[in-house]
Formats: sequence, C-alpha cells, structure tokens
Amino acid sequence: MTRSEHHAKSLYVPESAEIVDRKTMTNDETWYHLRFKSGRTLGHEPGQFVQVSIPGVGEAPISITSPPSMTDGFELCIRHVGNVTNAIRQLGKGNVVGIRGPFGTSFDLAAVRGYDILFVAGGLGLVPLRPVIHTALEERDQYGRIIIFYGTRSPDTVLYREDLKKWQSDPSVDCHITVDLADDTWRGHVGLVTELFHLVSMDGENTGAFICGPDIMFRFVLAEARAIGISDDMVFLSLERRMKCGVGKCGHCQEGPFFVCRDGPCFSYDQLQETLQREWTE
Amino acid sequence: MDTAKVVGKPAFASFIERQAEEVSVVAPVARAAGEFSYGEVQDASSLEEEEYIPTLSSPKKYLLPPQEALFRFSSPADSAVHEGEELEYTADVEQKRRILLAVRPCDIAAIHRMDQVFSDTEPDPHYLARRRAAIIIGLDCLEPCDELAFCAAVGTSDADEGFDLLLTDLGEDWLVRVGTDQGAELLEECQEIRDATEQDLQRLKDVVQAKEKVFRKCQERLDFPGEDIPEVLEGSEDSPVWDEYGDRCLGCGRCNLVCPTCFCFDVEDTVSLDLKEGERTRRWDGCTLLEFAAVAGGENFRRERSDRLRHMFLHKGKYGPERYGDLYCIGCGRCARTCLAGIDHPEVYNALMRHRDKGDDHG
Repeated sequence: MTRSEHHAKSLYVPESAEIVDRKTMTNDETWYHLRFKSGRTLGHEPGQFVQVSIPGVGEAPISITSPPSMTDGFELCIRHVGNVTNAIRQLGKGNVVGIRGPFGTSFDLAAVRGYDILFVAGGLGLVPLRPVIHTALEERDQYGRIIIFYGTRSPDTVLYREDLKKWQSDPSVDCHITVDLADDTWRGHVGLVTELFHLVSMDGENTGAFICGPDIMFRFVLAEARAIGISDDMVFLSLERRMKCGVGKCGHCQEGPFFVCRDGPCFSYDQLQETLQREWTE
Repeated sequence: MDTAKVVGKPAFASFIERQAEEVSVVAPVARAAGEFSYGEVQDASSLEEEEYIPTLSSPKKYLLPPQEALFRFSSPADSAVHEGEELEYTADVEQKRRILLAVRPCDIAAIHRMDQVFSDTEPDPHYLARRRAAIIIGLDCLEPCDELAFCAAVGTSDADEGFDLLLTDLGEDWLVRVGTDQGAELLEECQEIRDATEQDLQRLKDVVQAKEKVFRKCQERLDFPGEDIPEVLEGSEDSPVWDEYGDRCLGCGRCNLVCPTCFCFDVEDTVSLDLKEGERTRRWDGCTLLEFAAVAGGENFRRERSDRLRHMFLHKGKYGPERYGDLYCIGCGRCARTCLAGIDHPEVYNALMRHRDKGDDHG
C-alpha cells in the first residue's frame, strides 16, 4: 500500500499510539517512546516528522528523533511551548496520543556518501538531526569524517547527554559542544555555535553539511559553511514552520513557493536560497 | 465543442424545478439590494436576473465549507478526551448530490484550481467527495459584471471546460454546451430539448464574437497580458510597491474570505461540556492575517502586512502557476469589492510592472 492510498480514507484521522516510556530531558523538553496500538511500524526516514494529537486540545508537528533502524516504536523529543505540547506534558506511561505520519522529506544521506559530514545543531535542532547522526554512524564506513557541532543556550538545556557523551568518546567522531551562557559546572566551550568552525579544520570541498536550529542561526552557520568551501547543494537544512494539516493543504507552512510540510521540512540550501536570502535582507 | 443543445427557457426552468425536488440546487440569490450570494433555490429564476451582480463569495463554499468537521472523537472510558485514554474516531465525508447552477466562467476556472490543490499529493477526501457529488451548470457572461472584474485579462471570461453544462443566453432559448458525460446524462431528463442546428451555432458564434468587444475594457484593466503575471512577479520581492500597498492593507483577511481560489484553513478542536467527546474542525483561514505564519515558539515568519500581502500575490500569480500551470487569480474582482482599503489586484500588478520598467525594484 502506498502512502497516499493509505491516507486517502483517513487523511486527518490520527492513529492511537501508546506512551511506552518518557523521560524528562530538561525543564522544557521531554523524551517519549511511543508505539502504535495497531502494532504497525512508523516506517520513517531521518528528518521526517509526525503530527501529534491530543484530541480536544489540538495537533502539533513534531520531529521524529529515533533512527529508522529502531523498529520497536519510535521516539519524540517535545518542547513544551504551546497548547498541545503542554497537554502532552500531563500524560505518562500507558497513556495514548494520536499520531499521523510520517510526513515530509528526509535528509539526503545518500548525497554525502563518501564525503565528510558536518552536523550543526542549535538547541532543539538536535532533535531532527539525531536520527541522521545515528544512521550515519550505523553505516560508518560509508562516510569520511563525522563532525558534530552542537550549540545550546546553557548547560541545563543540553539534550541527549548520553548520545553526546558517546559521540565525544568515539574516536571516529569529532563532537564539539558549546553553550551561550556557562555556569560554574560547565567545563566546555562558551560562545555561539559558529565559533566552533574555527576550532576544527575541515575540507569543505569534500564535506556535506546537515544543519538545524532556530532561523536566526541558519544565516550565520550557512555563511560559515560557505566560507569553508562547502557547496550549497551539499548543505541540507530542516525548517520549522507553522503547520496544521501536515499534508500540503492548510497553507500555513508556506515559505515562498514551498509547502514546508510537503516539499520539506528537509531542503538543500540550493533549493531555498532565493527564499531565505530575501527574508534575511529585510 | 462536443455537443450543443438548445432548449427554450421555460422548459429549462421546469427542468431545474424538477431537479430541485430531488437534489439540492444552489444559485445566486438576492440577499439585499444589490447584493447576491449563493444559496439553495427551488427554481431557475437566478438565470433570469436582468442585471447580474457578482456574488459576494463564490460557490466554493459548497465544496470547501467555511467550517466542517474532519472527524469526531469520543472517550469510551470514564475520562475526558485529552486525558490519554484510547479514543474512538469516526470520520464522515458528505456526498450530497448538488447542482451548482449559474456558475460563471471565472468561478468555473476557480473550481478547476481547487481541484488541483485538493487532489495534489495527498488527496483530500472531504473536498473530493463533495466535488464528485457536484454538478456544475455554468452560465456564460455576455458582459463584464462590473468595472472591478478583470477576468478577460487573465483568460477566464470564457469557459471551455470544467463544467458539466454551460448555458449561453440566446434570447428565447438557452444554448447548452455539454462538457461531461454526467452533464449529458442529466440533460436526458430535460424536455423539449433539441440538438443545436448550424443556425444555432452561428448565433452562438455571434454572441461570443460580440463578447470580445464588450470585454475589451475589462481586458485592458491590466497593462500587459495576463500570462505575463508570473514574469512580472519574478524578482519583484523587494519592490517598493509591496510597502506602499502593505501600508494601506489592514490585514483583515476579507480578501481571503471571498477569494474563490483561497483554500487555506485552520484546524480547531471543540469538545462537549462533559469533555467526553468532540470534533476536529477546519475553517477557512487567511494568509493576510497576522497569526497565519506564527509558530508556538513565538516566531512569526510573515509579521509585516507587506510580507503577507506580497505572499498572497506571489501565491496567486507565481507559485500557483509554477506548480499547476494556471494563474491562481481568476480576475473575479471580489477581493477589491470587499477590500476596506480599496486594494485592487490589477492596480497592484500594473504598479509592479511600472516599477520594473523603471528598474527600481531591486533597490
């Protein structure tokens, strides 16, 4: 059954998924392990998202944070900032939420096969990049160097501490973390994520980059990526926009000619250049 | 043209009256002095209006209602719907047979565009069920409805397809063009109808030829050919025209509400008082409204009115054509008729063209 056939009958109706496990990650973010009650596998690609429903409250687009190789359910990392994401916060193990998806485009790992990979994540941007990093590490011999830059507000907002620790101790990974504002406990780098570009020498022409973070970060990180010689068609990013339907109908996520839910959320910089450039010059 | 028939107006009127007994028939009806809108009718009197005044909104509302339930949910357990128990979901699509009568060529073009959007990639079962159950009986315009219409400039003053039947006024008779098998089948129930003769077709040709002259002024509302709109918009993103009109725009969304090709919607949940059941509904939304592109974290990707106005124009005039090959502005003029700031689309396009010619849109 193709995806469009599957959704033809139930395009907007969610499927029940049980919260198998949950963990508080930071003050604002919670990690969830979900499993469909029907037993079906989500069948996603890294970078795709789902629509999470709390009926009576609403629906919100959330990036999938587990790699496709995980087939016993899937994971989400949710920042509690809106009505839906705050309602989810009230739910625990055994509770059920509604899920639609997976939706949208995925990160094109095949395009960087044989290349070095640079991951740049700002804050919650680590969430959609995590499945890409995991997938790349599962097929480690397909790629050259793997470099990870992760910047976040402060030490207490660091996500996926266990993953980061593993990546930092993995000799085949070059993982750097920075915070904007340090506290007494912080021993690592302090400053913006762009500063990490100056700590690591990279062979830009043989590097593909995956970038995700707040809009303001893109502008500066993309300039750095260009400066070290990564070509625009080898830079991939994921955009966050308002979404209601997730299936290219409601119009909220439009960015220039694109419906981010359908044509994105993962784009190459090449594709987006005209659109983003305009926003940034204003 | 595949087939054409001719029927006397009284015979066609009684055909419509009989249809109205069986199925829902909607057509423009007078709501107040000088104001028309689509509503349920029992007869064909809408076809007899001496002076046609364009309807405030288009027949779109019968395909994409201003508000509709996408599905309902209920909690079988003794708990509220949002408390995490497994819910029951039920979704119905409305498939009520409905004749859309006296649909003008511009609105026929608009329905074609809505069909494109709602069957793209992930087909929308609600829209498509209504669409499949709809019969479109078009009514050709022999003169522009008013001075704000610019259908002839964007190629929608004539309809060649997109209707089941299309009526052209030949005085005592209707000339009925048959566009689909469904239309042909329906006509079998129409009495006193005959095939069009050579003479009838000549009358049609004369009428159509006369249109060209009558619509010239309407066509000239745009200073350049309508098919060039995407090109005029290309690279217009930084034009001062957007600031000028953005300043005037109130961001009220009225243009979106009356536009026959606006399809954007918001989604909202409502629950019963005991919180044990509810429904998810969608309702029309508008890209010119402030909150349209705002996300939960606080970022708003089109905060300025000029950004939103520009997006609307680019969607209608460039992005739509790029994806589907058709302009998504069908020149009906409804937005200008309803705009409190008097923003008139051809005026904006012409201003963009003038600025482009002056070469000052890349400032």
